[in-house]
Amino acid sequence: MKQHRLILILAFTLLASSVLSGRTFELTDENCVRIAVIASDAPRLSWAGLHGQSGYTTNVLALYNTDSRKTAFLIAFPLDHIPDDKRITSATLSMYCVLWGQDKPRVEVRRIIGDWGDGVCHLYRRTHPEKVKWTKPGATGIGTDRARRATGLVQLSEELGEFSLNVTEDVELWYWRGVPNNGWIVTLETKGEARFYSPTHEPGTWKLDVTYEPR
Amino acid sequence: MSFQKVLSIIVVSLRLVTPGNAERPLRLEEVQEDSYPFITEILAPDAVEMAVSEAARLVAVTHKGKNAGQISIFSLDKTGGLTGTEPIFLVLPKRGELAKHANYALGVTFHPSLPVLYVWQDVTLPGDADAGTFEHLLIFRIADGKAELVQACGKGSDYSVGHKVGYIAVDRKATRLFFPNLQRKSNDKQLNGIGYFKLGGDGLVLAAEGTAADDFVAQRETEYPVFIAPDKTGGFVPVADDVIIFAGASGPVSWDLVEARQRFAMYSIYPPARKNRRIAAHPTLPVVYMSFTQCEEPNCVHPIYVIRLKHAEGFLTSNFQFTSVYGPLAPPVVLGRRQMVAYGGKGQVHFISIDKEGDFLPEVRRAKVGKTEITALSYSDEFDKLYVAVEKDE
Repeated sequence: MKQHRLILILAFTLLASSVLSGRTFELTDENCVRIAVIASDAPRLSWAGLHGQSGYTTNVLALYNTDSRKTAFLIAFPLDHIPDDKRITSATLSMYCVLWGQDKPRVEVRRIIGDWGDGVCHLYRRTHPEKVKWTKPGATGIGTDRARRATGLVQLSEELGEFSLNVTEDVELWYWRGVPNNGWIVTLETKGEARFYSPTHEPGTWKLDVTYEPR
Repeated sequence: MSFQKVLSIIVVSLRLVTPGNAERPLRLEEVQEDSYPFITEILAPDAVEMAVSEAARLVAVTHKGKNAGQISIFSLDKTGGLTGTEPIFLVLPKRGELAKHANYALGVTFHPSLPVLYVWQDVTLPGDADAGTFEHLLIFRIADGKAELVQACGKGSDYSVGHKVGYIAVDRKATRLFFPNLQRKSNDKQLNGIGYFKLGGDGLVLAAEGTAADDFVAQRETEYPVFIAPDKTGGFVPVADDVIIFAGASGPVSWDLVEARQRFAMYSIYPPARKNRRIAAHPTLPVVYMSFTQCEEPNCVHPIYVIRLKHAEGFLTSNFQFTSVYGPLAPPVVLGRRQMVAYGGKGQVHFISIDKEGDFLPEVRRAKVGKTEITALSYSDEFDKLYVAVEKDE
């Protein structure tokens, strides 16, 4: 009987703490509907993941910044999990790098400004139900397609694996200040190539961890 | 209140305040339904595949086993019901040098507006036989209860033989007929291919001026992408004028017939590649459904993974949704008007509900139909009827 009481107290404490003191939760690419890889050399594809012998596949997410090919990964995590009237204390975006080219490139993450969706590609930010162009192909319009200031840079290092970036300010902006959440555009800031786990083939590897507390 | 009850309330409460991940795969809840009046059973032993023509009011069924060289064609009345007249039992003609070998139907489809039936056939040959003269595509005109062969083509060294799977499809404008099972050696590597014939207004393959009448090579275009595993191409869905989607090795593949820079794009999905794949398109929404299974033989108990993917003018887009059912190797059938996707099972048909956008809803209905594996089924949006081939009066 004593043991039962202890378990109940512990469970009530957990419940109370989760309700009252806020918490951390994790979203992954599996939670996202809006997700795409766009490429300058495949102007209409939403999923120009890796260029191979016959065309593109999505078994790897390959980012390029070369003279002949520029690619970008677009992802928008839904933030409706966060209850009203909370304060975002931290948010971290994580990605899993599996390969890079000769020069270790720097990965740049920026907020996307324009609303995008079905049929998103290098030329258009959506094609369904009607076609809407990016202001500049590849969502390269600074201040119109993507934010003026980068959210952050990730320098890929010797060790392959998971890399993280603090995105608290962006999540706070979307959650609290009512700025539309159109997610992030991930590109290579420097010349080169980097490969990541793909959300379609290795789902759950692009993650957003958010911690909030009562305001 | 008992300790267990209090604890379960706490667990449920904790679950409610926990923002969990979207569930993958989508778990389907059983929904009981008393009757399925839109199902029309068609008696067709050893049925494999089915095609329905609303314009010609016909249903064609292919068979396996001793009837593999035959197609059964059933007539429909103006409401889509079976007329009850004797079906046409179309025996595939044996032509040319390979007439003594067993030929059999793989794929079957109708012209969208004409009483024209396309049959993709294959042949069983001894290892050293030359298959170069075997005609894979047979075109029949159906009239007055008879099927007349009006064209035969699709022969040569690129057409491989002895396959178990071979779907064909006509695009919405009826200007192209897509076909499978091409093979070509390139640098000692075997590449598998697909292609299409260009069709004329009469539904026949266009013969180019200056070519031999029975060759049609000039009106054929083929591709040999690495995304096609031998014998496993599970169908085409010509979803846009210049882009089609087909069931590739690890997921659906878009084939842009015009823009070379983005000619092929495969959406490689998790769960990873399964041996057998089938695909179907929603009749009105930009959505495709694809199924994957390890099953190759009847009576296997592997799950069929079923995915839903959107496309925009044929280009695959946004994230996918997936769930699973158990059953044999059958293509998904989309019941647009009823907002359901049907899969054949053993003695039953599974119906997964979809919403107005074509997304899966977490509910499944199961209709008892016959007693054996259901693989041949087809839906008419116009008649709102699901035709299901069954073995005998069961």
